[in-house]
Amino acid sequence: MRAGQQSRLRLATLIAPGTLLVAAFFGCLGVLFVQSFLPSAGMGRLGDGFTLASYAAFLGDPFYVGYLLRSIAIAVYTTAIVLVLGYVVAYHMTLCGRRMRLAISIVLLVQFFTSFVIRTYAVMLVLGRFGIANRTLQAIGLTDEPLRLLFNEFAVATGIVLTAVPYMVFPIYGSLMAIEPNLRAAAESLGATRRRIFWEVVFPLSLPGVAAAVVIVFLFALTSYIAPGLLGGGYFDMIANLIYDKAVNAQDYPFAAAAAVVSVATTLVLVYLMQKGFRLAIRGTER
Amino acid sequence: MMRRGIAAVMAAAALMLAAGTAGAVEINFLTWGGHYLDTYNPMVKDFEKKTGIKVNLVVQAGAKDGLTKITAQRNDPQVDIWGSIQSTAEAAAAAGLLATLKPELLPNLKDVPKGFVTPTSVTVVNSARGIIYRKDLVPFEIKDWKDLWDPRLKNRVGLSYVIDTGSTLVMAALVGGGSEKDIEPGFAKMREMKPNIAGFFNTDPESVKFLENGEFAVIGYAILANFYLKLGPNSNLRFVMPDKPKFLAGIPFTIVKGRGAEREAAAHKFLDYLLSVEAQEFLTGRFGQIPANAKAKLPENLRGAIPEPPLTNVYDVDWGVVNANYAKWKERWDKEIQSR
Amino acid sequence: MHGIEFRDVAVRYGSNTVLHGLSLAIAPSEFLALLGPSGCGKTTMLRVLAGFVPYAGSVLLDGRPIDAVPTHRRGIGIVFQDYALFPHRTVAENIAFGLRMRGGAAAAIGRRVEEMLELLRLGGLGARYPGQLSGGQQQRVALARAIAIDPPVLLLDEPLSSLDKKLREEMQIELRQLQKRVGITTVFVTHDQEEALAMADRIAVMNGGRIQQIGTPREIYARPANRFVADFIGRSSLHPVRVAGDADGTWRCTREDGTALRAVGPASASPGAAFFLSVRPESIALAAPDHVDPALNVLDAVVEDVVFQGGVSHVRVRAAGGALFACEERGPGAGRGPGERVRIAWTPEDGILVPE
Ligand SMILES: Nc1ncnc2c1ncn2[C@@H]1O[C@H](COP(=O)(O)OP(=O)(O)O)[C@@H](O)[C@H]1O
Ligand SMILES: [Mg+2]
Repeated sequence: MRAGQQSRLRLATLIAPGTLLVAAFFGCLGVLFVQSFLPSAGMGRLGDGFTLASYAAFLGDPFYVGYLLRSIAIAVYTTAIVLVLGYVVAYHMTLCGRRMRLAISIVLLVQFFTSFVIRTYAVMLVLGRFGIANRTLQAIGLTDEPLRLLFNEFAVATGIVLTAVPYMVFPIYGSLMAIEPNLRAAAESLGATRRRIFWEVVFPLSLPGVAAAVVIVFLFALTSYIAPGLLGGGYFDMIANLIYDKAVNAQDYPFAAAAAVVSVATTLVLVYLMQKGFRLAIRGTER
Repeated sequence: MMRRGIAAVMAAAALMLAAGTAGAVEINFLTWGGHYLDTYNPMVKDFEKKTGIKVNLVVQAGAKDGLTKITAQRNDPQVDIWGSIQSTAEAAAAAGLLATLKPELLPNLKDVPKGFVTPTSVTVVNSARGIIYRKDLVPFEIKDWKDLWDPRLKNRVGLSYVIDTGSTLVMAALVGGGSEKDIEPGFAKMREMKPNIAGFFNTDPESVKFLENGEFAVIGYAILANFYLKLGPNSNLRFVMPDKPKFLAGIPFTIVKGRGAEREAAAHKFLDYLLSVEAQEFLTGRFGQIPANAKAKLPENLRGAIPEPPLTNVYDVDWGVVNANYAKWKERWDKEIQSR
Repeated sequence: MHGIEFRDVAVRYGSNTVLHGLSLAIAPSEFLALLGPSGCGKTTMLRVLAGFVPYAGSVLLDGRPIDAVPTHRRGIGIVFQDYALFPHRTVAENIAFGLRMRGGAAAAIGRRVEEMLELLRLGGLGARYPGQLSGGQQQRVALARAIAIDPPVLLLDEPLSSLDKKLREEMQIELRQLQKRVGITTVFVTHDQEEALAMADRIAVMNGGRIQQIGTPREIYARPANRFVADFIGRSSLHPVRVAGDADGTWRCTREDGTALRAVGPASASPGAAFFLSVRPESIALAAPDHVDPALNVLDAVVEDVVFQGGVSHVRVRAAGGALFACEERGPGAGRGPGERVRIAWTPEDGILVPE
């Protein structure tokens, strides 16, 4: 009896923090959901009743829906670019020497643990009016006036790509390292060239890592806030910027909540479809 | 049984301890971070030494963020004293979040001009607004708001809608012959300025950074306090406070309702401390602000950067009108101005 | 059919020499077992043959060096210790893999796959994934995949070690029959001497990166070339002796305690040379304490322990002078017990002198 109680108590203390976190998370989402149906009384105040006005305001205006569509579009293609870059880096890490691998890991980890804002400013050092890119172009005489590389979609995409690479590299590297080395040897002995070993064996078997990394990076890109804020110069705000602006600057909570609910729902659908697609491709590779 | 006895003794001891510390009041002071924190930290320590009241600094990302916090805590307030800007202070007052001030608890109020006091707020310092620019990147001397439309500034001007709650648009309206009550000329002037706009920023640190790295050569509507420490004879930055009109932002301090009589009294005591000549001179010296207490002296470094007080032509924005239209204008701004 | 030859093959990992200049010829259609303790370099031999590791020396296929030929063009069939089946490919796709790499027509590949499924009794499993197969089935798929490409040589790296005893014995027979039927030159790596003895045409016993002895299972068992082989293959009692002289085609030798024994040994042996005397348990007869036979080596002994195993009893005895001998008694046995006084006897021809 006593032992049973004790172990139950211990179990409870182990589970409690996680449960609290999850409960808090869903609690917040619930509040968001409820607020999205309340009328706004202006300047941060909520009215009583039920209305779909905020949804109508968000979904009914192509200008606002544009934020979400634009965010999805940039998330899709930056994820694709990051996938290629990240895969190349991860694959290189499995082939290169121990020192090189360590060096790459350190660079990626330092990047990973550096604050977003600083990483984003670093992008500015490259793309800025007086950045490396413009200086180089001017030095080799390709342009007289500095080009406008910053404060546009290109800059935002570059920022997302550069900051997202570590999220792509490590899961892929993990799944590449998990591939039994004898499988490559087997393929080679059966007559496969390096290229075919990669496409027939290595790549398919790395798909579980790719699937995880792609979802992480897609969500990371879709919810970008700092990159568009700093590198978009106000000309390429994404959905998170809109929601923040509506909630904090305009104090229109119902609208912000409705935009958030629509975005979360859209994201869930997209991630579900992605997972489904990957599950088809991965079939048989689960170990 | 034994255990229960010990627990009871410990609980009693804890109660006594709690009662003992209850004498030392703690209040929470919501304000901006960064340089503001560095400034308020020594003041808070000094205040605690003098009064025994402990003041905890709580950081807001901006005045709007502070308002969001106060609003969210409506049912369980966590902040005692809040320093923000006029528009947010008025919005909080209108929402009934603020305590009515008790002048009898603020002896220093006698030296503060009546115009700086409302039933729920006291303007502790005034912060100059104007244009700040890089002398090395701008080929002429900027003197007036109208210079922002000069074609030589093509692609050089950084702006923000959110700064001072839409004041940039109000300024444009005034330049175009309108005002916050007649905003159309403001949008017309802003559309006219578009070729000169390099980009938009959202936060104070961004404006500083972008001016530093040259992405912006000019901040079209800037808060002097953010750049004050970087000014000086050797600086490549120059601040202008254009006349007609001058924009001056008061930093109103307010006391939040519903924290109990004891904390409210302590908050008054702290507010009065901030209005003292000594505190005023320290505070304004750190930010390049203009003291509210008439007996306090203007900071030395400010002479030359702004006209000698008393300032004339200070524009009195009707924040009621701005607040009511803020979201609507923002939407238009995003569609018409903040787009290429 | 194809023959293989290793000439002075040496492999080094950093400062660690794993193969010390090995030479070995494997005849066409031969089934050669590489036998040795774990870590002795058996897998490395296969890796050299497949071209996976850089090596010094030369490997010849049908008399032609293949050292410059990369793995994917050597066309050697390998069954890995862990099978290395492609987990994301079905059984049929695994078997077809090598054929596809060679660019055959789809129909021809399909026929060959069917043929292999048939040959290895995998009918009906073509659409399964490796993860859905038993160990024995996986083993057969690996085999089918390796021989589908019709390789000149088949390399098997401990292919049966992860199967249970019964299945292993079945597969030993099956594998041997298959090899005979297909006639493919096969190198079979194992650390299990019984497996090697049962299956191989010839055995190469390895230790420490060197080949200790090559020969038929019988030769290896009956005439171990050195102490390691005598000890590693089968059971044997090994005792240090010194050669005293020759007598009637056998050597007279003495143990440390002065006991004189007769044994066969290398013709090169000379009086005074140090050897080990190796006697197999089944060669030693247990006799009554008063048994006398001048034609045999006879020693007084005391039974130490007896392990009864049905058809055979393993009896350990301690001879005068302290040396331990392992003996076997067939049949129901005399019911001996520890402490019993006996005499052990064996013919001089069953005692073999082996060098260190
Ligand atoms: N890639 C390698 N790097 C370093 N040492 C190795 C490597 N592969 C094998 N060895 C060493 O070579 C020796 C022989 O290995 P191996 O041929 O696999 O032995 P086995 O007879 O058990 O198959 C072992 O001592 C092993 O530790
Ligand atoms: Mg091995």
